[in-house]
Amino acid sequence: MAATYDVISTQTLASTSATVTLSSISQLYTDLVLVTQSRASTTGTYDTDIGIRFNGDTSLVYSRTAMYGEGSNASSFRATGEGCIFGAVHPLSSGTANVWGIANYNIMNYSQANTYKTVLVRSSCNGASADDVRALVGLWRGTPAAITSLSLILASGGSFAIGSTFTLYGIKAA
Amino acid sequence: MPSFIRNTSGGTAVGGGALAPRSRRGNTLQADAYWRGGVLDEGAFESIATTTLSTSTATVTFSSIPAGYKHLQIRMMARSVAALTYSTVYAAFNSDTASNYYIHDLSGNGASASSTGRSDTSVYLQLITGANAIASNFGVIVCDVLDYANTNKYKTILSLGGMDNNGTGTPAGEVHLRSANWRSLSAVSQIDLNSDGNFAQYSSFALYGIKG
Repeated sequence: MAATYDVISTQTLASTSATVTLSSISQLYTDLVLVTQSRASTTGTYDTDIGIRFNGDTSLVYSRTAMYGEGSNASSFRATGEGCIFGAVHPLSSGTANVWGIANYNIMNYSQANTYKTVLVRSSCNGASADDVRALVGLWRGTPAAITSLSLILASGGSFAIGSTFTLYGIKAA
Repeated sequence: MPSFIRNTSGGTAVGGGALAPRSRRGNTLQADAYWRGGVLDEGAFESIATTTLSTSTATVTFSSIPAGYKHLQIRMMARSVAALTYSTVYAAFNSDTASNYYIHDLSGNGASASSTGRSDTSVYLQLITGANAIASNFGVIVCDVLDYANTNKYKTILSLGGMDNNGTGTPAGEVHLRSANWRSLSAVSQIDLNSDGNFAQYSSFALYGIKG
């Protein structure tokens, strides 16, 4: 049987970075899986959303539907007409030390040029003042095209902290 | 050799199992391929079968699923032709359509989160988009079938999926975490996937085996 789950790229930040971009993504796979562990260097006690956008498209063509739990209640929300999919939640710099947010993005059929792209996200952020477990479906309605690059940004502004890790996997169908 | 069949015309059966040559794998780190015991280990996650529909199709069937893995994962991006904003994907194992399934669902509809549970004649796997959704918009599902070949256990399924329709239609988007139980001791050898209408063109389905 063929190997199907490959590392495409991985990086650990040696310095803070406002944007993390994975570019020149190989088109040899069927799905992409992005796994992140990060926190923001931005000052603030609570958490911040992490946004993902594709092919540098900053137009307001992203939307999302999410459900989440914060330790005491569960709820759901929707957002439309955004410039990226705010999919995951990670701690800000004043959050509990050494607490990192983690997220897993499934980017399905990313090289399919006939369809919009839909993304499934799971994320977790655990800290005394920043608790959030979340599942989310996000839609990118840019002109249907293969995804060749993706970028991650912080809703709070500022930068990802040193030590944040970003690994992109490719899953290849038979 | 596993097989992948569709029960409507217009498609080509697809089989899995061929080892892709290195030349097709691109300039990537082969993190899941390494030598173990003198044999090249190609990793624990293997593609069994896949297809992308060239025409509208009623049922997608994974048949003759090999028992040599620990778990299965189904990954799909799909849309139905039913005149709805959304459609449900139903899964049946080994052609069992009796009330041998039990389902728990945790969902978010953009306004609130809720949970349900019930028995049924198939697994209500997830929601995808229907014909009334935005054009070119597809729902996505990742589904794990654990210990599928164990003949001493009922089978448990866990899936995450949903659709987002940019705030339009009813529902305008939902995300679901679903667990299901198939109360059978049989190894899963076949999975049938259906929806409220035919699956639309470009819908894609892939079955993977995960070694234990």
